[in-house]
Amino acid sequence: MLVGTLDLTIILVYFAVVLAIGYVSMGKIKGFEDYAVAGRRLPIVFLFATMAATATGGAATIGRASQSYESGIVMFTATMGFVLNQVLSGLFLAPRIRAIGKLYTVGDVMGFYYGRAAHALTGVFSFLYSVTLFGVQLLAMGRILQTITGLPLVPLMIAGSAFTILYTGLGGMWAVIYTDLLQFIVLAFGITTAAMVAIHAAGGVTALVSKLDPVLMSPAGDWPSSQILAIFVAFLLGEALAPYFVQRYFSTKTPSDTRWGVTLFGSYYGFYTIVVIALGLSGVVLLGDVEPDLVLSSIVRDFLPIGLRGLVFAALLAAVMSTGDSILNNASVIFTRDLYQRFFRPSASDKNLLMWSKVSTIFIGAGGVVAALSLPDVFELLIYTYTLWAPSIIPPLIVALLWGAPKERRVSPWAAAPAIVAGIVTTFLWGEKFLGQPLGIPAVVAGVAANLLVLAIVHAATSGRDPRGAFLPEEVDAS
Amino acid sequence: MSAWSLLVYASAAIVYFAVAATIWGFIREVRAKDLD
Repeated sequence: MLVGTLDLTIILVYFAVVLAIGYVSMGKIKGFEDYAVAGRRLPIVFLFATMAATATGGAATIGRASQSYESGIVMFTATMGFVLNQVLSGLFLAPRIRAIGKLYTVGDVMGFYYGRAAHALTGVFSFLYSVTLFGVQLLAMGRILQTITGLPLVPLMIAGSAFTILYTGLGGMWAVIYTDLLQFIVLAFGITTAAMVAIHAAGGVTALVSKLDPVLMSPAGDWPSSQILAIFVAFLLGEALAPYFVQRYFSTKTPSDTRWGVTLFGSYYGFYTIVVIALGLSGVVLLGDVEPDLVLSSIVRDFLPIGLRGLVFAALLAAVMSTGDSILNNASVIFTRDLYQRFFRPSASDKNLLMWSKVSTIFIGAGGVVAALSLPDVFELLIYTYTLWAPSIIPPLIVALLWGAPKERRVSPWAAAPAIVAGIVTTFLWGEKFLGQPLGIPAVVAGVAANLLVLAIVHAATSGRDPRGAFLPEEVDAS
Repeated sequence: MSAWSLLVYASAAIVYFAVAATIWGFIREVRAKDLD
């Protein structure tokens, strides 16, 4: 075991507070709108904190420290893709999404512009996207608990998941928002303090930089430009308008609150990344040669005083739990809204939708654990869904949002479904398994290009034709 | 102080500031009972 009694007490208190928040939040849930989008009452500061807690998960904290330990500040160059994506989304896309009306999901937005067919396709895709990422967070949570306690991975993963499912199922989006607030504070404070302690132990920033291999301090590192481009594009597009972010855009009172909450978060993420990269680089000087995945936990174990160690381990758990709970809540809302209500019960009552949201939280959570633990092939396939998000849904979504005034429908509703299919097929064929990424162009970029091309062609061919059936744009409650 | 030091310490200060602002914002919202 890595921690002593005081540290373990801090971690247990943290768990107890999170569970108490979930229980208290249960009282705020009066209907599906409360469960899914916190009654659309979030102030800017809450949106900022929940976005930050959700985005700074295991990959952005433990993963980024490991990557910078290995590759240096080139990771910052690559991560700028995500910062750019979030700042631009905040300024230009998120307020337009919120302005459409009382919606819940990316599928709803696609339905507003392109009708039922695009809504259904997006619903299925976003559901798979969210379930996959939940499984990834569960694995990360199990590994952190294993590092702390030294106990076997599987029971820890099941216990950690059951805990997350319990408080998320009890309090829905309100529980997620309140726990995200706490988790953001613990995470940002804990990791930054750990970075300051580690930098001090390495002799300060100037001394640290002078001891590092110059390659680690080069913005391009020793990576070929094609690799930097591929990773930059993955950061730029991989989580663009991700389902759990868009659900949050609908949780505020006004489009202006959404704009500033998201833009502030995007800017914050850049500074947080600098702190995490500094922490990873201090590991090069302090630890010498270690397994990169263990850089963060080794610094915590060897250089942090008792008490602070417990806080930082709680922060690492906060990183994965705050991402896991958001994604789980998002998957249950997508299931209820885009799949259950869309396909089975269009006239479902509010009470019925709320009941299905809670039930699906439990089943999706349990399904995520099973997929991550026992079905590695299925899980690998699901992870592929994640890479298909940008070349499938994003181009028709962004074009529809930006073309014309807010809420104006300029793109032909016939165009989205064929463009999505073209994007998926091209990404698949262009990738490693078939064509092997010719000309060094990443498969995602080829997929986005094909998607846009088909969108433009079908739009030109059908723009004068009245939409009908599954291509008839859906109406929304605009208030 | 080198440019690297300035960048790292300024970033850490901004993260701490974001934490303080979040706590302040939370207290303000709860006092205003705007969330009920």
